[in-house]
Amino acid sequence: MKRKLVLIFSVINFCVLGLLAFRGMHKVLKNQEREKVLSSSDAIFKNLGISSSKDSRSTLLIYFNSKCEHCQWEVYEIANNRHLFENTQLAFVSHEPKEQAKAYLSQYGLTTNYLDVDVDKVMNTFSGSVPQLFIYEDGQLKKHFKGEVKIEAILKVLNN
Amino acid sequence: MIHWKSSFNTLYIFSILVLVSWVLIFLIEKTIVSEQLIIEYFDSQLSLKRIEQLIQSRNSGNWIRYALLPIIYLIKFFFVSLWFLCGTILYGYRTSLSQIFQILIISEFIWIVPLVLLLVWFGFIDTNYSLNDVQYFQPLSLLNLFDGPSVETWLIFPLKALNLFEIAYMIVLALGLRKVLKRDFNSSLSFTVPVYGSGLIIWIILITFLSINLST
Repeated sequence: MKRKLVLIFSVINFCVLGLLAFRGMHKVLKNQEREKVLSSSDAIFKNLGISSSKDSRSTLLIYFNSKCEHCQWEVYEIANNRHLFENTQLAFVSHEPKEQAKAYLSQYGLTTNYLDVDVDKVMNTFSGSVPQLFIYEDGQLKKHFKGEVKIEAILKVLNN
Repeated sequence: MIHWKSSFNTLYIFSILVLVSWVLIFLIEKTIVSEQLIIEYFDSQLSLKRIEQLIQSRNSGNWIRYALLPIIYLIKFFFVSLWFLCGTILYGYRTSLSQIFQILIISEFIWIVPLVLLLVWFGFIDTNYSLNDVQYFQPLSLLNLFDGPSVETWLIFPLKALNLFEIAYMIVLALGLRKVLKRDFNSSLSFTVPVYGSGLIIWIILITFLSINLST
């Protein structure tokens, strides 16, 4: 009886693990597709369902959430040094409800820089924790920062 | 009386294991992963003020990590003992959870060796190292065949987990189990390798799955 129970337990265990391995590999492949999309600003805007900008300036895309402490620090720093980004197109995107994200950005006068896109499309385009910063030059990804970044590091990439 | 003595021995060995681990972790944190090393690592992305805040929060949470260590050990030993107990039922062997538990505690000392190696390597041999080097350091593992930072994040754990210390661990386990199972070393080893190996594979898949889902 004991032996049977252990055998059943082992079979269930290996089935669950097979499923985990399958789902894990699926996620890896999906992440690779995401990486491809994130490597070009045209592809990312298309994925988000918005038309590509005709602006020839470099783009700084910030994926954030207003409740995250690191994002709050990042938005605060960017807003306080906004004059340093005159030659850069700033774009903020979030996976939280639009009203919440907009209300937060309005405190810093950054509402016009908010990308008003469907939350599902945001979730489908980005993965992982926030904040993440993407710097595009001539439509190509120049640098992807994960986590908060000091202004000097962003400017170093933009001015390089 | 004999049972009481055995429990005392288990507790005594467990205390030594925890104590040695605490000392080694403390030494690694103080001498190898210094504050200067952390500052150098984050300097390209974070301001000094933010790095200092990070270090401060790391230091304030230190006691929690030390306090959690024996609990993590106990959870690990409990689940691995249960796994082995299931194995003994399948193989038709007779033993008890406490006997396996004691063998696991003794075998755990194998994992002290990589910590000592880390201390010796970065303390005396490769003294010009970065935080990345420390993070990717796993002697005698498959990760050594690759260039650490270029490996996909989700592959780091399985490549680190597959190392020669696991083989040494299995041999020590088999030596210990030989006595409680009342078998020769070969029978004990042919029981330990599939039972522990299957558990290890499950653990690697589980953690890899979690790291795929949680990583950026």
